[in-house]
Amino acid sequence: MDTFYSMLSGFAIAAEPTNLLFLFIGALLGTIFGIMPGIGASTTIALLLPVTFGMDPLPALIMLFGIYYGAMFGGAGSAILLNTPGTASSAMTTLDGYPMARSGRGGAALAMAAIASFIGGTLGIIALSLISVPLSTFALRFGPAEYVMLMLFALSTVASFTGGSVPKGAISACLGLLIATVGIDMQTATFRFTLGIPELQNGIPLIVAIVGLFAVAEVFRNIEDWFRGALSAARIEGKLWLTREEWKRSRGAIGRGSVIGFLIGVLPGTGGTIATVLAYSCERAVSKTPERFGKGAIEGLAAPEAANNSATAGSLVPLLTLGVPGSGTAAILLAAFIMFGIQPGPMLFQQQPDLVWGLINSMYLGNIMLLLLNLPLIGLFVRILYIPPGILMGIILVIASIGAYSINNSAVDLYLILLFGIVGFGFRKVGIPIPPLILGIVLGPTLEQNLRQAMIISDGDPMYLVSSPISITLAVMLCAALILAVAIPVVRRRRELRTC
Amino acid sequence: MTRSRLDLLAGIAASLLGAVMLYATFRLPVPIGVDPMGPKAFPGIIAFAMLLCGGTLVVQALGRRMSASGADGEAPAGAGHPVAVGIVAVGLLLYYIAYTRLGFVVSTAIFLLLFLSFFNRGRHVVNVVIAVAFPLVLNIVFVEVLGASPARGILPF
Repeated sequence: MDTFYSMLSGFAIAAEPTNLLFLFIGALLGTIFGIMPGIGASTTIALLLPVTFGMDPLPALIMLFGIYYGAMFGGAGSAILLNTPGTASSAMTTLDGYPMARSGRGGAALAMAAIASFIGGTLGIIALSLISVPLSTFALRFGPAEYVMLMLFALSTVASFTGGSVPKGAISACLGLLIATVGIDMQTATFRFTLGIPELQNGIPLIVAIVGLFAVAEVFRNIEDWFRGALSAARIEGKLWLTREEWKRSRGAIGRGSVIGFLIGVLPGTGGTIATVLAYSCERAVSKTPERFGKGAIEGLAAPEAANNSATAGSLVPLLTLGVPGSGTAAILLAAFIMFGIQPGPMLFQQQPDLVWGLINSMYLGNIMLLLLNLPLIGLFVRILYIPPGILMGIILVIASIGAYSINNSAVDLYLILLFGIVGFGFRKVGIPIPPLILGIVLGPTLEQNLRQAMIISDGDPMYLVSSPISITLAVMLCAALILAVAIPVVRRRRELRTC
Repeated sequence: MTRSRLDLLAGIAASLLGAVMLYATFRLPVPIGVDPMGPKAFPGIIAFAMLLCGGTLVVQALGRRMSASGADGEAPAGAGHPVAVGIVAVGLLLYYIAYTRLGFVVSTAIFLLLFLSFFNRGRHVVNVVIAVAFPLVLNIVFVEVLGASPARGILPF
């Protein structure tokens, strides 16, 4: 009953004018930056994270969450009109969205993307609301050993499944964990890897690393794109509204996409991209006319868009209930919580119900806002695609710089964002995924702290880590994830050889 | 540069970093009467894991190179413009050096003007307006709205 009242009170909190204003700003910025190819939610949140530093936690978090799912709405715009996904998880939208735009149904494609995103997102948030409390209550049984196994599981799945290669993902995660060890060791007051730089005594600021790895690295990547030549957008043609036939075909696809999206989104390391691929494949498999897919089938657009937004809500489940982010963007959101001195996890629902329910319920309102924004104004938003990229790159670099500097008023932070920008760019060139690195930096201190606590409790016995049913289950899941990550490429290669 | 060559370089770099971090970990002092793990164990384990992963990547890349040399050879990875990125990175470094000395507004105006002159060529008026107006507006937002204090430098605000 308490939970029900907290939920209702959360609606009242989310509907406060200040929160609504920041929700609107977040949704708007998310849509705008989501439309821009290659920028997406992670870069936008990274860019604006320092800006929220002096704000109250709830409106700031509402805005950052708004950016997250707003970018999922916006990502479809460039996928449909430009054949270039604004975010990685919009890649499947290009398959049928762009052919629709080319055949004069661009308006309907954008409308369907907005409607499917709204329904998928809302169903995802309903599931998030229902599952969060039981899961967080269960998570209260977790001790240091369980948390160590859970964090190792999250790290290993993100490292294994976000890139094409397990060693590359593991290198990224290890680098993140090593970066997290820089600074004074809190238990022994030992200086670790500070290189004699006083600014590093408190560690490398998380936000500085995030801004460098996403915003600055993204600009470096865009500079290469700029040299390759500008992209040209298709014009929006046709009515914005759907025909009855199109709506009939899409209903089932949206429902199935939403369920797949949420279930996949909850799993650490999988995220929106895998959810959209599975939703698209499922839709094609159940279709009576699979040959239409890839040529402008509206259900091929509806299913991945619904899955993408539902997965976004799903990825917040482990973040809010366990304090373990399941994706790179969720890791940045965890960094935002930490920046405000809030530790997500099972205690969050008990200690700060107003904050957590205000945040979750703001997402319902945010989805409605996004639908109302996107249906009539998408034509206006996609004009952003015509802004010269040179101006955008310069502006992003300046905002990233002032934001990073303003946190500590330290010039060292400026040099660090440049360093992380170069590292991020290098990682992209080599194909090393960045989300495991972020996850490593975010989880590193908690992982080490829990590991050391576990060793103190067990007097240095490592078997203590697998001494409870929960930690054994997590260890089995960890092993299964690693075996799958190694086995899948081998099976795929054998299948390719057989077909050759 | 081929994909396997990039992987080889990345693997070597990761292994080197892992080895350096492992060495640095061993050199850390251990205070008396600490917890069973102490300050060295965690970074030591991670550095060793990094060394191992780097080595695996090297072995994988070498294996791919050997099998590719027996076949038709390997296709090059996507060509880029590392020199251009390097020049922008140096420009950014100079901007950051100027940032604390000249202040946010002046250094940003100069940086934006130079940046836009190249990446938004031919639109001189637009570039000048953005280079002057954007830092001023951003400065007002950060100082007045967010209560931050970007570097003042030579200007009084």
